[in-house]
Amino acid sequence: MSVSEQALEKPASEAAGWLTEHGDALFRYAMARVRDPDVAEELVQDALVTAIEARERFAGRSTDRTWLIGILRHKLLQYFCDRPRHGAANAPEDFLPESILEKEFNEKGRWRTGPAKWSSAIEQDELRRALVNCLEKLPPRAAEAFLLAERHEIAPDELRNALKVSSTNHVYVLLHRARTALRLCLERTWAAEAAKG
Amino acid sequence: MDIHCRRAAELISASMDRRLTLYERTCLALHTMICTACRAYRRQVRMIRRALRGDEQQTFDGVRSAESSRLSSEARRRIQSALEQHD
Repeated sequence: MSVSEQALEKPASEAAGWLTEHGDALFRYAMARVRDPDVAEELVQDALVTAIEARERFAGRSTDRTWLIGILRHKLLQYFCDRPRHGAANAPEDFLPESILEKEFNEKGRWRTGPAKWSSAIEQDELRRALVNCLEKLPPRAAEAFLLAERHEIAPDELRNALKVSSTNHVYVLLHRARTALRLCLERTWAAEAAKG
Repeated sequence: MDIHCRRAAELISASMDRRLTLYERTCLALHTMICTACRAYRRQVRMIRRALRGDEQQTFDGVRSAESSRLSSEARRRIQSALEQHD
């Protein structure tokens, strides 16, 4: 039986169990991004309260931890995306600048260096470690948005609301920039490692 | 129907997030047939997705950063009582 199936069977105080079991991990995750214990605590609390309300809809697709982190990522995005001017929409530039693409393409729209064919021998774990590093180099809100889409499979329509951008098209633009920035960062990582021997 | 790599990469990325139109699909197919770099790009972004979605070890779900910060016991109590109100 998976962790999530067990959770679905436990009725009343499962929220207390989440706090005991995942509280520190959630807190650490939030701390790494907001660097303020009061804010981090509040985000963790928000995430857990939302989890209580949303647990019926949680069909046990992932583990509790992954699910809870997904909710926390939503809260982080809301925190990052709230703008001082109430109601104003965000633009893709508020997440990742278009200049990321200028690094990759010349004026004619051709690749400057061009992606290399990554070996299928790259270990998944190695790729993940490198990805964690590269994600940390992205602006936090861009990283959270990308993780919600790619890891938690949040649909672009839903992401549009969380990101507070005015059209789903902006979501595609942003995800494309994030992918491109990540693949460039990963390629540099492999190159640096190859140079070290 | 002739597109450059910058547009092709955009379409490759978009194809992972939405269904491309017939026209877009055709342009992209013609381009990737002759462009190794864009094929490599497609392979890379797919590898990234697979690494993220198949992450059983939950590498992306928390443990990162060497920080050892933990919830204080007061914070724990505050959250606990907030949860009880909602549960």
